[in-house]
This record gives sequence, structure tokens and C-alpha cells, in this order.
Amino acid sequence: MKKILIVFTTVIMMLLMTNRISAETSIIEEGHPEVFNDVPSISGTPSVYDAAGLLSSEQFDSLTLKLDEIRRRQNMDVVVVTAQSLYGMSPRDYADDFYDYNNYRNDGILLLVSMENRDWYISTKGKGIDYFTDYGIDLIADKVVSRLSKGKYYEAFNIFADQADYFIEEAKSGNIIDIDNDGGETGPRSFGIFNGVISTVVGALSSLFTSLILKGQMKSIQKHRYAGSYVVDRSFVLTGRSDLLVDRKVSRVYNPPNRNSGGSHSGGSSVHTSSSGSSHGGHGGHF
Amino acid sequence: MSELKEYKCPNCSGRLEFDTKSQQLKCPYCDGTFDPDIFNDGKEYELNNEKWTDSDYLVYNCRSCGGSIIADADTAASTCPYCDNPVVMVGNVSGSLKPKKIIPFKYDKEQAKEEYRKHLKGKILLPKAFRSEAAFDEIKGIYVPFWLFDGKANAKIWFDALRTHYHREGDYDVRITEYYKLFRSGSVEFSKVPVDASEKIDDELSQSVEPYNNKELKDFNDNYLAGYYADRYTVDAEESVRIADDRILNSTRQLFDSTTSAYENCRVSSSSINLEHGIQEYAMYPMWIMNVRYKDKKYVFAMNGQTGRFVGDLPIDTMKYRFIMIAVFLGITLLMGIIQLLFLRG
Repeated sequence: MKKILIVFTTVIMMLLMTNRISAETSIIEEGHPEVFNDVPSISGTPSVYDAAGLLSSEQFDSLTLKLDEIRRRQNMDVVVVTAQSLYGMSPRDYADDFYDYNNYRNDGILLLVSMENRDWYISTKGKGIDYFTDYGIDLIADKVVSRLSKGKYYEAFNIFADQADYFIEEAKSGNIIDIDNDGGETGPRSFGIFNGVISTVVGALSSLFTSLILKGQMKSIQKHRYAGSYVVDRSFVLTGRSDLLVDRKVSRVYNPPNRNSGGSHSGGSSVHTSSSGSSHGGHGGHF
Repeated sequence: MSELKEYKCPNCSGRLEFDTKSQQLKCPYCDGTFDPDIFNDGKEYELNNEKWTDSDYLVYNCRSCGGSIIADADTAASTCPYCDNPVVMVGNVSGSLKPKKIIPFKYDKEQAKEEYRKHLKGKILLPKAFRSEAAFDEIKGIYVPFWLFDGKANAKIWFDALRTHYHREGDYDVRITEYYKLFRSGSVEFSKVPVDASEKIDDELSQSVEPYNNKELKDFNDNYLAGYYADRYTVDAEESVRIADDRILNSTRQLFDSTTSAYENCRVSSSSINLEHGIQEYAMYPMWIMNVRYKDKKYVFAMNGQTGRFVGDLPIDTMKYRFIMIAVFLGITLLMGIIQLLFLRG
């Protein structure tokens, strides 16, 4: 009797302990989180967490290098996270929690891509909320999501990194990108054909103008068609004048003021509170 | 027709010339000056031995040195090429050919040359060699014959004009166009509109040195001609008045046009302008004419002898011109490119 009891207790205790051990191993092993309703807990604060395996190891290294540099230079975190499944969590919660619980800095932006339902989500925190307005995130998303849809993940993440860097840079110099200030096209503009045409046109006009002036210097003999110098002082008198209104036409053209196509924001960033109690901005969609 | 007049100083028999600085007849030998409006000691004499050459030139013999003075039928004043003795061909400035008025020279030959030099200054396209190689064929101070016309223009002009106003009503851009018929009537007077009466002097050239200051018109006296060249008129007043009328009409239209400045798109729909002709006077105006030769081409320069206004078309150094045009084009294009680049990266 005693023997059976001892064995029984030992078995139960072993079962309990196995549970705990397996929980711990799941924390240590990266890439295979077996957690339900909890974001993966990772060591360090890597720039790239590619659980869905969307990147080759070269792409992973290259992207990590780029983001590391940006994070160092801008003193903010810019993170890319991919997941095979969100385990029942909403993209918003997953992204917010991943950022909060994995000790990233107080200011940053995170891009989450989940293959399960083809969700993308951009989450911002701290200064990231101010630097990346709803409108700004839309602009970035436009460029990123189109590549995600085509399966060009590496390209998409690179663009995200460049855009994030640019937005932060602009914001730091007082130029937060928003509806009323999107600086034309976002992203660092490059010297294009349009600029070349402008330069050439201005160059040609200057040349023409100079030609007129210099050639004008050389010619001084011309026919005089007027006798203005010979008008007797104050001899010009009007004896009659009438101004008669004979017709009146009215034209009305419908011309509504410009409404921006991207929602009803008037600018700024919408903010919510995550499970950790911190404020986050951002939004997401499908690709 | 064959009478010549000479101007000799009553004190020392030196030759007198009209001096621009003092505005008097001046003797360069004894510095005596004489009022040209009063001086009456010019010596006239008959010439018996003028010769006609084949080409309508007249040759006179200079009384002072015997040299030949070549002139034509229209010459009214000249100087002996050998001894600078001024002579006036009395026949061409008397009777019906006598001018009513004259504006005396105020600028002398040295000043004319100086103005020529100034004219060449700062002309970037002028070939460098022009300044050194261009040679004067002649520099002459000439009294050019002019017809001066007074006139009054009476005008009645109708215009079609419009005005547009813009404003916003809610979501609409509203444009209101008002159409007007304008009427203007009135008159304007012109005084002493000049028309070149010499076929020898190009009309464009003489117009280019306008305007002359009519307030300095003096009653004509041949004393003013001493030392200068002069021609009698060769274009009739009847022909000249058409040119004056043209200019008067254009100015009248311009003046009436200016009374409609409150309107846009003003067009004359009909007009009736009638010119009343006033007095016409025959006058002589002073002009310095310079003929310059450069690389086998002739260039003419003229200066208003009263106001100093200098004109004359100059040749263009085509190589320099092309170089500058290309340099400006490339330079500015490059500059614009750099500016835009900085602006983008900025």
C-alpha cells in the first residue's frame, strides 16, 4: 500500500515538473514559441524577428545591419517582426505586446507581418506616435503593402526601414509628415527628369534674355512712330466720355474644396492603450 | 546762286566760326566774339568762275587760299578743305529757301568724338578690333533741314471693352463678365513735329536723335552756319506732312487708349480722327554725322548737336555672341540643377 502511494505521488509530481520544464524550454528555444495568447519572449532586442521565415539568411543579416544602424543613429527602435500565426491575438495586440514585453526602447516603430491571415500592422510608441501620424503610416503602408502582396518581403522591409528613417529624420528637423505637410512624395526624392527639364528651360530662357539685352545694346537707330514728345502741355482734353454697360454674363463652375481620400483624419495620430498599459499608435490591414 | 559769303573778323581779318561754348561767332586769332543775331559784317561776293562737273557738283574757289570747295546744288554751307574757311552759299538760304528757325550747335567736334568713344563703352558684343581698327571716313557737323508741323487732332473713338469679377459662392467659382461700349471724344495739340527734309540724311537716323528742344529755336541767321555744313531742303512740305500726320495719328490713338485703362480687352470698334494743320516752318537742326569704316563695311553714327544724344548701330562679334549664349545656357542650367539638388537633399 505505501509503495503504491509513493509511486503515485512521484508520478504526479513528475508530471507537474515536466509541465514546468517544458514551459521553460519553450522560452529558451527561439523560433518555436509554444505560447498561447502571449507574444514570443525573445532574448535581446533584435531588429528583425523572422518567425515566418520570409527572409534568407543573407537578407536577414543585411536587413538587421540596416535597422541596427538606423536604431543607433536615430536613438529609436525600428523593428520588423514576422509570424506564421498570431495564436488568436489581434495584430494590434500582438504588435503592441511584442514591442512592450521584449524591452524595446520607449520610442519606436514596429512592423508586423503575419502569414496566417495575411495581416500587416504598424505599431508606434513614444516619439514614434508623434513622428508617424495616421496619414504618414498610410503613406508608408502604400509602398510596403504593395510589395508584401507580391511576395517581395525583403524589398518591403527595406522600404519600411528607409521610410522610417526618412520620417524620423524629417520629424526631427521639425517637419512631421502629415496631411497638410506630406512634402509632395514621401521618401527621399531623387533628381529626376523633371528637375532636368526645369534646369534646361531656365537655362534656355536666361540665354534668350541675355541675348535680347546684349543685342539691344548694339542697336540704337529705329523709326519713330509716335509724336509723344511734341504734345503741347495740357492740350489733351476730353470733351465727351461715356461708359455704357451693354451686357452681363455669369458663369458658375462647381469646384468643391479638396477632400483627402484617406479617411476623415484631419491629421495627427490616433492612440490606444495596450495590455501593458502603455500608449501606442498605428494601424494595420491586409495584404 | 553764285554768291558766296565769308565771315571775317573785323578786327584782324581772321576767319570767324560759330563757337558752341560761347554761342557766339568767335575769332580764334584775336578771341573776339560777336553776337550771331546781330553780326552783319559777313562779306558776300559774286563768283564768276564756278565750274560744273559732269556729276552735278559745283566747284567754288576759296577766296582765302584759292583752294577748290566742292559742293552740290543743295549745299548751303561748307568749309574750305584746305584752309577751313567757312562759306555760305547765300542763294540756298535766301528767299523762299530761307529757313525760319534754327537750333544752334551746342556740342563741338571734340565732344562729338568723346560721345562716340562713350557709345562704344560697355558694349559687350562689340568686336575688340573695332575700337582700334575702325577709321573715321569723316566727321561732319551738319545743319539738317527740317519741316516742323503744328497740328491739332480732333477725335471721336468708340471702344468695346470688358471687365471680369471673380468670387466664391459656396462650392462654386463665379465669374461675372461685364461688356461695355466706351466713347471718348476730345482733342490734342502737337507742336513742331519734325520731318527730315533732306534726301541725303536717312529719316531713321535723324529720328533716332530726337527729341530736339524747341524752346531753343532761334530766328534764322546765316551767321550760325559759319564753320558747319548745311543743305537746303530737297523734300517738299507737302510730302513731309504725311509723315508728321502719321506720327500725330498714332500718338492720338495712344492717348485716347490710355483713358480706358480701367477696362480689360479694349478694342477700337470705330474711330474718326480729323487733323487740323497749323503752321509749318522750315528750320535747321544741328547734327554730328560720323561715317566709320570697319572691315570694308560702312557704319553711320549720329549725334544730336543740341542735346548730345548719340546713336549708331554697331557690329556684333558672332563668335563672342555664340560663346556667351552657350556659356550662359550651360552655366544657368548647371546652377539650377545644383540648387534643386541642394533643395531636395536639404
